[in-house]
Amino acid sequence: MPRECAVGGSGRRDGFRSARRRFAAAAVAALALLLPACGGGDEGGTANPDAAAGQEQNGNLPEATTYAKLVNAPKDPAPQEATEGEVLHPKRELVVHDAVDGEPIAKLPVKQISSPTWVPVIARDGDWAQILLPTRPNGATGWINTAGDVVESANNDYLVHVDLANYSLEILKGGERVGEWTIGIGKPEHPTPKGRAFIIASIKETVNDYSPIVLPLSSHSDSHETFGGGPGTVGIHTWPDNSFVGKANSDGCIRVTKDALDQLVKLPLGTIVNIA
Amino acid sequence: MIGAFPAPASPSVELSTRLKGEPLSKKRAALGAGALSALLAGGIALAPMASAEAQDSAYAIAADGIVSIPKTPLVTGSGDESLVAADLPPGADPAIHAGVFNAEVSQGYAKASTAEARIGLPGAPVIEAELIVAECDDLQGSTSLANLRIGKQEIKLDQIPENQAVVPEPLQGIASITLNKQVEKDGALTVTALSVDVLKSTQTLDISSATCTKKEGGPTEPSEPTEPSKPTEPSKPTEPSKPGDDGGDDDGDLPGDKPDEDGNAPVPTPQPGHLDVTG
Repeated sequence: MPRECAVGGSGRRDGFRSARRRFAAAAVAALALLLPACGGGDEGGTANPDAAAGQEQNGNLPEATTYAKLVNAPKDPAPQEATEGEVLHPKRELVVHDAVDGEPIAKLPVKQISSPTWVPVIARDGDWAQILLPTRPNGATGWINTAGDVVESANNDYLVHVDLANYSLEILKGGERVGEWTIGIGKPEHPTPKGRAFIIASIKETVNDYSPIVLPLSSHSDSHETFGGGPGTVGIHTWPDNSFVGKANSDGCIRVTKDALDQLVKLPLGTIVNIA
Repeated sequence: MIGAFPAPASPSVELSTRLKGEPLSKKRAALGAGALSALLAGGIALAPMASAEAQDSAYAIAADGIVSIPKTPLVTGSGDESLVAADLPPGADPAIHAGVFNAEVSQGYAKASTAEARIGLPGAPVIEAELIVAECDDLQGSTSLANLRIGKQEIKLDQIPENQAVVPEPLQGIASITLNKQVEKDGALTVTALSVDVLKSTQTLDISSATCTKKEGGPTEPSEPTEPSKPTEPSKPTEPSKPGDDGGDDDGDLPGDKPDEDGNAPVPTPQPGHLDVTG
């Protein structure tokens, strides 16, 4: 049963007016509600304080999603390097910090679009993990405290290399080539951004029909602040015809053949897509 | 006293297509709330259903009584609608404020969500929640609530059983609140995340309601009737969870949220949704 075991958070918003509860006013103070307690119990009980992402001070943190821009996020220190292959799924909303024990900069939700959040780890410091974020700006990273049972950790052997100059996309598993395809990339005025991105979700498209499945990446167009109704997210998807193959005519997305998409959709979320 | 709210002369409503299923961006919501104090027209997104035949549908809010609000935004059949920053009725003292209302529907699937909601109905305690979601998928319903407060009390929820009644004691016989209300009718299941009933239906309010029928054709989604047994622990040692913590996660047990038995990242299951990427 889906649930969001929320802890803390005032829920109070600016602009709220006084409640209209004249009838209930006296009663409200004495409310006793017959509900099971949250599994997490009272505040402060969890081994990891960051699991209680709803604490007062974190109530206004932006959610780290493709819609957010985190100007204070540390930049990816090595945007062309491979990672150790660890990916993490937060079991509950976690606070993202700008350093180990640093300032909170965001909340990492358990879902990205409609998929479970999986983020690649680019560095470790004990329980702390530096992760790539799905937000703007490109190369945004943050640190999460993984102490306690707050994340699922998994190993990911896959890696995608995109060579813009050669219009090629290559899937590697454990360093071995799984396949290579010729692709379409962003036109010169809307180039596909370079750097180390990752697959944030696997969307069975319900609105657009150019591709049955769209794999949005963590990176965003530098020239499109928004696109369509979206925030300019770069995606990998196919196209109704093959006119794109070997061309730079997209608005930043990576267009792949159906054959390539069939392989790409099998890659775990959090897989690094290294665009050079 | 609140009256049925009039249709404003020039409703300023941002109806935008948002990606589906995405928990609402606080930033977006905040921006929306700051930029617009949207009014709601009675006719917005209204597609009154004449047919008695069960249809997939979703709406974020509806009220009947002293405060009267049509199902808003109502999506029937298929589609996706959002409404950012709404005060209902519009004016200085809205009974209901929400950052974002969202409704999405496809065949056999419906989802309604309300973010940053504050509801002050006459006769009922103030209800506040960051996120109220009802989801109905192939006749399976679920509700999730984040940071729910009723009156001054914060309600901590883990699993929400079907038709969980919440009766504030001092209000017994006056108001009742039902969470995860599930009703089957004409081959369709309706999940209402939060349903308020004041004075024996003198005033009713439904927040986030999704109605779905059985999915047609294709392989049926693997149902998850029970919590899957926990796979092997990740290689990294983790501290034992606190007693009482079920160790589960908050994502509604999405497929592909755990490593496989070898500790490898799972093959993702494409989820219905929408995002306009850069073509």
